[in-house]
Amino acid sequence: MNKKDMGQAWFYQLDPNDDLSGSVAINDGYCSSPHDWPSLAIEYGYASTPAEYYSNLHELTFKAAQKFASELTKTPDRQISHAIRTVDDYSRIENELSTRLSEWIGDYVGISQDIPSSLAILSNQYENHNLTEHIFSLHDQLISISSKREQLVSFIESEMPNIAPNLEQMAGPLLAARLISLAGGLEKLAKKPSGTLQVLGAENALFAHLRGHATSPKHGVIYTHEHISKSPLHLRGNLARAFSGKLSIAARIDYYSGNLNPELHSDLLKKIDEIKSRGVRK
Amino acid sequence: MNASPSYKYLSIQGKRYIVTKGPPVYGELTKDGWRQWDSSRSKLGSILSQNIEVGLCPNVKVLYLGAANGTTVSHVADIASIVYAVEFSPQPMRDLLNVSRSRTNIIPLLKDARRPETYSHIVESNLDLLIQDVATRGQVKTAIDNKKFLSSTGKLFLVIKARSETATAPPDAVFKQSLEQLSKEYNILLTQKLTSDHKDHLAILAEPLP
Ligand SMILES: C[S@@+](CC[C@H](N)C(=O)[O-])C[C@H]1O[C@@H](n2cnc3c(N)ncnc32)[C@H](O)[C@@H]1O
Repeated sequence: MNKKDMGQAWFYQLDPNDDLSGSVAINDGYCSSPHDWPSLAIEYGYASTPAEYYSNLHELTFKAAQKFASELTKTPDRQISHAIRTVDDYSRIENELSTRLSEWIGDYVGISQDIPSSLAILSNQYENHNLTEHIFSLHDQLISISSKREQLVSFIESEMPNIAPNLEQMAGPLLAARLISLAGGLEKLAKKPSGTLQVLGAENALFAHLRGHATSPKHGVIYTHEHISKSPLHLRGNLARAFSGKLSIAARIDYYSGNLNPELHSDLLKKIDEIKSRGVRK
Repeated sequence: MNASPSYKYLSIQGKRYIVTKGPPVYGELTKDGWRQWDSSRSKLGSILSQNIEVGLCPNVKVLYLGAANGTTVSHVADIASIVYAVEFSPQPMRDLLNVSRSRTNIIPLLKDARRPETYSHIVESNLDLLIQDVATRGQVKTAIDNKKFLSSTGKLFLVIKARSETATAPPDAVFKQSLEQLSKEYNILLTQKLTSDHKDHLAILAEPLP
């Protein structure tokens, strides 16, 4: 146990009567490794017995969690919308930066290699070269963005079953989040007719269509789901209609009751099988 | 704080259930202050009811990752002396807070289990039992990163949900890979697939390697 870690203890220099700084200590604190905090607290004079220590800790963590949980749960679907948009922004930026990176590296080692092996060559051949420093830092950025994106994806994955359990089960967490975000919230999604849900996200395609260079405006984000994207072309219209119909029921249940209804999902799977087997016979 | 000895079996309405002693939480059956541990709603409950021991006994200190709304945590807290309950989603946390109102040995923490450094200033070292049921990607890595809270004689009870790792690979392949990865840091004592209430989940009991 070093001095520095003692300074990280949640109770370090904490005024027992100051709830707010207590919550901040609980929520924002940090330590690289755990220690025998109860004994240290007694040694330090924060509590006189283990029972007193745990009772203080319970009260404080309770208040801290309550405070932050209620702040975050006021608008969960809004938070999810921000999160999924950020995921999409990260992906776009990752794509752009990785294209840039490959082109830049290509000037040094040719474009035939994958990025890790190119970087290895680069660091051997051009040690301490000014320009390559920038290439490496671009690569670092890319890695850090992609790990941030993965963290957000996990957040969405674990949050969606609470926000919209039926949508999540039927569409998967990411598509469910995209639908909520495109509609402008779960309430708005629940109130849209299923035909509108079917084309959510098609706006860009729609504009392109109006300008005269895209096929059809009916391809909303639900077309990215494998129920549709992995099915034969001639069935996709039918499938999309069936899928969006069930999704819009799911959104309504999620908005009004919030309980998972597993039957809805099995209905959907049945319906999809039906359409596919009819399609095969044709 | 907890007068109850541990969990035990009890017949309620003609059926044998595993029970703990404490205030009821989720509409479970009760009898003489004992409450049914519903194994269809709790993976740990389902394992214990198969007579598998995981080291959950009075006076143990527990770190529970993925506490959710506190269904299982409530039973664990009926037995253990202290339960540090980590849950990163605010929605279930509100239910967990209700559970910990009547159980002051629960320390509720709104934290991300993948970042133990954000609660190492609160959770003590040398714990007896690490229970993990997070059902999000990177489950083995999370168990490894949280090993530092366990005492050398402590135990890990880990639930792996196959679908949380990937939607495409078959569950058995996911389990195999998870066990390989886990055995670098833990000695695996036992694995058990869960029953139909918890499909495609593997329960693992392990102890930390030095
Ligand atoms: C399957 S549920 C746990 C059920 C609970 N163990 C029970 O038996 O009552 C998984 C929970 O873990 C939470 N979770 C997922 N990833 C997490 C993480 N990285 N940190 C903390 N909690 C997480 C989810 O929000 C969810 O509530």
